[in-house]
Parts: sequence; structure tokens; C-alpha cells
Amino acid sequence: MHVLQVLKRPVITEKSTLLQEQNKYVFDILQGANKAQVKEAVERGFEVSVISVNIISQNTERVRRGNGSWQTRRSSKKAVVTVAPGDTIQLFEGA
Amino acid sequence: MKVISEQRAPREAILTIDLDEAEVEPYLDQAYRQAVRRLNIPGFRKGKAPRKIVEQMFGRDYLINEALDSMIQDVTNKAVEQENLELGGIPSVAIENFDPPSFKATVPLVPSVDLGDLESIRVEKKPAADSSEQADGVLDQLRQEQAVWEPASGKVAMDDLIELTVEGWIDEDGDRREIVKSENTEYIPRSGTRFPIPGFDEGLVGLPQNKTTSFTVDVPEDFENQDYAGKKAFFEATVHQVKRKQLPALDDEFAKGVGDGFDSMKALRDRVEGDLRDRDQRNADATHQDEVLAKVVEGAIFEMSPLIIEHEVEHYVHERQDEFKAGRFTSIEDYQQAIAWQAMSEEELHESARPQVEERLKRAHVLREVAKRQEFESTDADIDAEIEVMASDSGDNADQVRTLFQDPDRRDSLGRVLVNRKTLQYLSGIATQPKSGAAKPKARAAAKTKAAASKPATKKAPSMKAAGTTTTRPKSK
Repeated sequence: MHVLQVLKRPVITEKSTLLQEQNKYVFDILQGANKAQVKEAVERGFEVSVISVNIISQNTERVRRGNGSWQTRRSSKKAVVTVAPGDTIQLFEGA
Repeated sequence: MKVISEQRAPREAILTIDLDEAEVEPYLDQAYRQAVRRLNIPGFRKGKAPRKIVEQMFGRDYLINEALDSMIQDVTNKAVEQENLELGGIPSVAIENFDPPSFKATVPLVPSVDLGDLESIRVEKKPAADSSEQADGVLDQLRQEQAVWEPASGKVAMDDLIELTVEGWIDEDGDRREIVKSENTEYIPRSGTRFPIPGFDEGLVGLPQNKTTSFTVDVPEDFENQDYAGKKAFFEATVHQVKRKQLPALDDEFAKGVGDGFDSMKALRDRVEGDLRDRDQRNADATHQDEVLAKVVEGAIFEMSPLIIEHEVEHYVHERQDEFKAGRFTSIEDYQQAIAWQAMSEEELHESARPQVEERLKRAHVLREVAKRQEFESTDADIDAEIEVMASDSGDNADQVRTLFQDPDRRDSLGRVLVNRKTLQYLSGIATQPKSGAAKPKARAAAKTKAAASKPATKKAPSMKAAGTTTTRPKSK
């Protein structure tokens, strides 16, 4: 598996946009990925130096729907990557 | 902002406006702030997405598009200001380039009016129609209003108020078929009534009081009700009481009864005649002013941008259509026009309305030009005075009128009305000067004193001019 395949996609939400002010970038990552892999992927892929990586696992959850049936919420694994001050990741900066 | 302006006939300016990045930015920012509130972007609550994200998702063009409306208006106004142009209407703007924006605006300038030789314009003033003879008619009407019903003796006459018991029938092969039956009703016989059958009222005339009398009436063949037509109707009627209208004598007593503090018949008659004469005078003045203005318009040379006319036509057609839709017809012509308009296409409509609108515009611009040349203005004091006049005319609603005209817009438009009035009086004054054209202030002053002695209508005309000039002269200094 290629190093970069660890990163599935950037997470672009209100919260993640706010975090960018603190040089933190959020990615959806593969279920099996660990912090070291994420660090390597980000450093290689975007040519920045990573200071720290925090990982959040969100397990599948069952959510009630109004009509009595249940819906599953997909599980996901997210990484909040802090990069060195001054470094930016172009993917988020827009065209 | 780079503006290239070139003027062209008739009274239009073409502005080519180029904007650079920094000038566009505020508009884009405003557009973003408006757009973001209604855009649904996943991951963000409404109105929370940063501009960067919006631009990334929808593109910069989207924002420019959003900004365009306000940008065009704003930028054009600024450009007009920058070029020191006199805006005469709403500019029409074409987009030359999208990004960076560049516009081409066609700006209508204030139309130029060459009034021609105003001083030589002469329109004969038709003497005011004298309808003071109608005073008798007015007084008679007042008399009718004040009349009282007095019991009378003798036989029934037309237009009496009678108390009546009547039964009427037609004979149908021995059967009585009832037409009318009523007891003790009040009835006023009038000639020519067709109810209950023609001739009934005439039959009542001459009946004695308190005595049952029968009479017959031949129903005419063409009567609406076929059951009765051509037959003989029998009536049996008893008149219980006859009342006759007593018209008050036209004397001082009557004048006092009318109210408004008349103490003699002469005062009342003078007032009625005076009112009628005033009305005639006003009508004559208005007609004359209208004719004069038409003549001035005819003699003037206009240079007017078609854009102004086009816009005005559109406005006019729109307004009229709204009026028609709301069912507001002030005259039968209105109604006919509404029907005619329904059959027309938009283009035909505009075409048919154009001459009228053009004439209206021309008149307005002639008035504007004359007022400008003569420096006619209306001061706050003038407007206040006019409001007071209107307030005193409206009696109980005086305070309402006063509060209504607190509004600065209303005051403004009232001021314009006053200026127009002054201008019209001035023009109509010129038009009634003697042919020599030598009528200078001296002559006007003379005319004024003559008019002050309340001479007949024809001689009164110059006084309006005198009044117009004397009131405005101090201001024009």
C-alpha cells in the first residue's frame, strides 16, 4: 500500500476550518492507520513538517429514525494533524 | 476606475467603465455576505462558511454575478459623478467584460430645451363663460332642499304627497285579477311613471279628498307585463290627505336659514354668483394655461434621449395597467382604453402610449426650463402657506392635512406644484400681453391695479402675471 493512501480525504467543516487557524488540519483516514503513518503521509504528500497527530475513532452507531427503524452511522477515523508554524497545506487553501 | 466618456446626440453620453481588482473587492465581499446566508454547504451551518470555501465551491464568477446588480448601479452613478454629467434618467448598462468587470453605460442627460422666442408667444384668452345666470338654478335647488310639506285642501295635483288607500284590478272574464292593493300609503304622483301601470298617476290627479272614487285606465298594448297589456284596469281609491310642497320665499329669512351666516338674500345671491364666477374664471385660466403651454411646447426645440422616453412610456403603461386591473376608471374613455389595451401586445401598447407620454415629458421640461430661467422657487414659507390654505379648505380634517404634509417628500412635491403654478401663470401672462410686446413691468403694474378694482374676467388675466412676478422678484435677487 502506498503511503499516501492512508489519507482518504480532508474534512472540511466549520470546526475544521476554525482549527486551521491553529495550524491544525483534519483528514479522514483509513481505519487501520496509525499516527506514524499519518505523519509520514502528510509530510510526504504536502511537504510540511508535522508536529503532532491526534486520532479520533468514531465507531458505527445506530441512530433511531422517526419511523421506528434504525439507521447506522458509518464508522470513521479522523486525524487532526498539527503542522509547523508557517507551513500550510494547499489542499485547504483553495484554488 | 477608468472612465472614458463620449457624448452623442441626442443628449446621451456613452461611458466605458473599467474596474480593477481593488475596486471590485468590496462588491464581492458584500455579495459573499449576502450569498452565504442562503447557500447550503455540507459541513457548515447556513451563513457560517468562510468566503474561501464559498469561492472554492461556487467559483469567483458566482460572486461577481451576485454582485453585478448593485455594482452596475453604484459604479455608473460614480462614473456619472466623476464625469460631471447631468443625469436625466436611468442609464442603460451593458456588460462588456465579466472579470475584471467592464461596463458600457448609455447615460441619458437632462434634455435640452430651446424655448424659442417665449416673449412673442400670444394666445388669445377666451373670456370666461359667465354662468352667473345659473345662480337662480342654484338658489332654486336650495329652496327645494328647504321646502316643507304643508297639508292642502282641494283636489290632488301632480307632485303632491298623498295618503292613499287604493285597490286596482283588471277584469278577466268576470274574474278580478288584482294589480295593486294598499291601505294608507304615502304616494307622490308624478307624470310619466310606469308603475303600477302607465296612466295610474294621471288618474289620481283631480281626485277629491276623503271620498272613494273609481276610475279606469286603459293599459297600453306595449306594456311590459303581457298579462295587463291592452286591458282595462279598474281602480278604487280614497285620498285621505293631500300635502303640498311649500317652497320658502327667497327672502332674507330664507338666506339666514341656509346657514354660513348670510344675513340677507342679497348676500346669499352675491355669494352664489361669486362662486360661479370664480369657477368660470378658474376654468378659463386653466384652459388658457393649457393652450399656452401647448403652444410653447410646439415652438420649442427638444433634444431628448430616447432612453428617457422609453423609460417613461414603460412606467406610464405599467401604472395605467395597474389602475385598470384595480378597476379604477375615472371616465368612460379610461374604460374604452382599458379594453383597447387588452387586445394589444406589449409593443403596440408602448407605441400607442408614446405620443401622449412624449407630450407630457415635453411639457414638464418646458416648465422646468422656464422656471429655471426665471428662477422661480418655492420657499418653505410658500409651502407652509399653501398647506394652511388646504387645511382651512378641508374643515374638520385640517389637522389631518397638516400632519400629512409634514412628510418631506410631500412637501417637496407640493413645492414643485407651486413652482409649476407660478410658471404657468407667468407663461399665460406673457401670452396675453398686447401684440407690441412692449408690456414691461410698468404695464403689468397698471394691469394689476386695474384688476384690483375687480373688473370683468378678460381684464383680470394680466393680474396673474403681475402677482406671479411680484411675489418672485425678491427671491430671484
